[in-house]
Amino acid sequence: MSAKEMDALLRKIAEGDNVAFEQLYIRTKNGVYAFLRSYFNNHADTEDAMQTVYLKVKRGIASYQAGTNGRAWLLQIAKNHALSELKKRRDEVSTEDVEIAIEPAPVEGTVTDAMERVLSQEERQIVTLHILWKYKHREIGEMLGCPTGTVTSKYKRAIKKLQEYLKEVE
Amino acid sequence: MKNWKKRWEDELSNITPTLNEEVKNEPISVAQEVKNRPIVRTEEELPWYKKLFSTPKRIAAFASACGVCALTLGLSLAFGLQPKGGGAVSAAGAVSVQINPEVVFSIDEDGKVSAVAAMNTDADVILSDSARVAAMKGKPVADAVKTFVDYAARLGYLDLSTPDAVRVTSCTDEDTAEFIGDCLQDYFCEKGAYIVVVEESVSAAEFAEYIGLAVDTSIESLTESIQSLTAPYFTRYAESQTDKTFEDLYFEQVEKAELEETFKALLADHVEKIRKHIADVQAISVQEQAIRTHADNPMWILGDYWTVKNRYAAEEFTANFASCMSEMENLLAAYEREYGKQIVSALDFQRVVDDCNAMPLETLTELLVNFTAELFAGNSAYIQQLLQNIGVDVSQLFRLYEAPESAAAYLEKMNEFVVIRYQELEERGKETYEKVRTEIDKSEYSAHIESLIEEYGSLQAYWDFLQN
Repeated sequence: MSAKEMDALLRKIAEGDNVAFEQLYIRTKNGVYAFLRSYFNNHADTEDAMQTVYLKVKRGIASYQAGTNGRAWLLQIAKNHALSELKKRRDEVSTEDVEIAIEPAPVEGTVTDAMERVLSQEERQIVTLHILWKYKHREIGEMLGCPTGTVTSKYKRAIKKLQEYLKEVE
Repeated sequence: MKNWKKRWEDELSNITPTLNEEVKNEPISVAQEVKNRPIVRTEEELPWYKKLFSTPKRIAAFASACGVCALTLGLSLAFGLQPKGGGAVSAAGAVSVQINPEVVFSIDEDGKVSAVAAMNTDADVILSDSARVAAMKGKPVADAVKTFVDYAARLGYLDLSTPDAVRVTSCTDEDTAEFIGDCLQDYFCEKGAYIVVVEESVSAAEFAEYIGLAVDTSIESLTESIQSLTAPYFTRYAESQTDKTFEDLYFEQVEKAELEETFKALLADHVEKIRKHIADVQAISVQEQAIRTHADNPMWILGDYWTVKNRYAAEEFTANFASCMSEMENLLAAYEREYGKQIVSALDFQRVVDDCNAMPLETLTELLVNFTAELFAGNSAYIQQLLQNIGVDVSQLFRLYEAPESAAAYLEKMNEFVVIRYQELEERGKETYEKVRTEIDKSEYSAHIESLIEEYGSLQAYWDFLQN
């Protein structure tokens, strides 16, 4: 989705348009899911986080400034939620025994599985931001605080690893 | 394998959850007042003339508009009116063109280009000659954009024979933006190229953010900032990457792997000639041996072809020896014709033989079959020699392959690189660029746009698809 379309949808949501909200969900759910999954590495937590993120969109839409970067606004909500959730869990682990949930592993041979097997969290985020969110390497560099060249080489390396792995399992 | 991105998106579509009732029923926390004037107007907010020409309607209206234009043009010409060069553009602002070379134009109040700045190394290649910059600077912006696109096509950055897209982002008045788009469409139709123009209009702040400039939101501030980008992109880039070595910086722009590919292609193109050269030298060597050991050779020692020829007149030879000498003369003449090099002495010939032995033929064959950067680096001097033997001068390219060690060397090598790159790409792209194509009818071009929108949802989505 282009920046223009995203901005137009967020503006409509800010005016109370639920249809626009549904549209936003349909258009961004893949990107938000993949982004959140790079933090949680499992479906169940990512699924829960998705609900919370979009709930926060409805509750916090008034804070969105029309004409600014809608993609960044949405991803910031997702990132903040993921980090606070993970911190909460770390705190819990340090104070009590936590039952380890058994999460079914992603189906082997899927791209999602391949990404989790061969890519680091940072590489998954770079691939997600570039492919699903259409961010340029320069913009990703700014977000992750590293030079554009580093993002480009990490992206290329990640794609190569991914393609080689997918070729192997096919 | 090829469609792993598509597969990934399909997978994600299948595993992403539907929103639960709590989220669905949550009321939206409506803002009291929508802050700031939006940059993008929704369909409802568009003025009546824009509504008439919103994207799908514009396409449908395009063909009939063409008819009206043709009629208007016909009437204009009938009354002696000529269209003004560059069209009626007047607003100050900025325009960015992305192909792969990416460039930014600053536009003055008369709608003319006041500055042109490269936004990547490919654009530096195009702007490496002041005459090419002069062909755009001071010209009406639509003409300058068209000129830039034409340079990109000449160099093969844009293959006119393949469907593709260029992206034009404008921060100027709507008429100017549309006029640029129309001019480019005319250019592509004329060239018979199914290349579409993806247009977007943005605010000054958005434009500045997009090109990484810190400016306030005024157009003046934006145009001034673009005018300050006088240095080539590779210089500005180096200034922003202080933590990198000059070698890293250089090979990021020049792409070592691409240089190696160029050498590989050169070798592959010339391998037969290299083999023939070796065979020709061997033939001369055999003949030279035959002369040295000939029973009728008048010299006991140092009886090589060149010494004998200089010391004795042909009449002094026996018929058999004279025929041997004559055969050698023919071989040397053929060698000179073929490789542009005259062999004038035994010493000279020894050098040619040594150059031929620089790399065994088997190593060359192996290099062509299993080309690796390591194998190439280990034999680069020999490869250079083999190519030089057959008259292919690659010394410039080899100079580019050497890493710079200082800032001055980096700038010098980059300046040299962009010039060489331009010449190389121009030569390589000549055939495709000059290929005669049938001009595309406007309605056919519109139908192409329509089919892309149907397939991808929008031209922007098509552009995104091409970028991945």
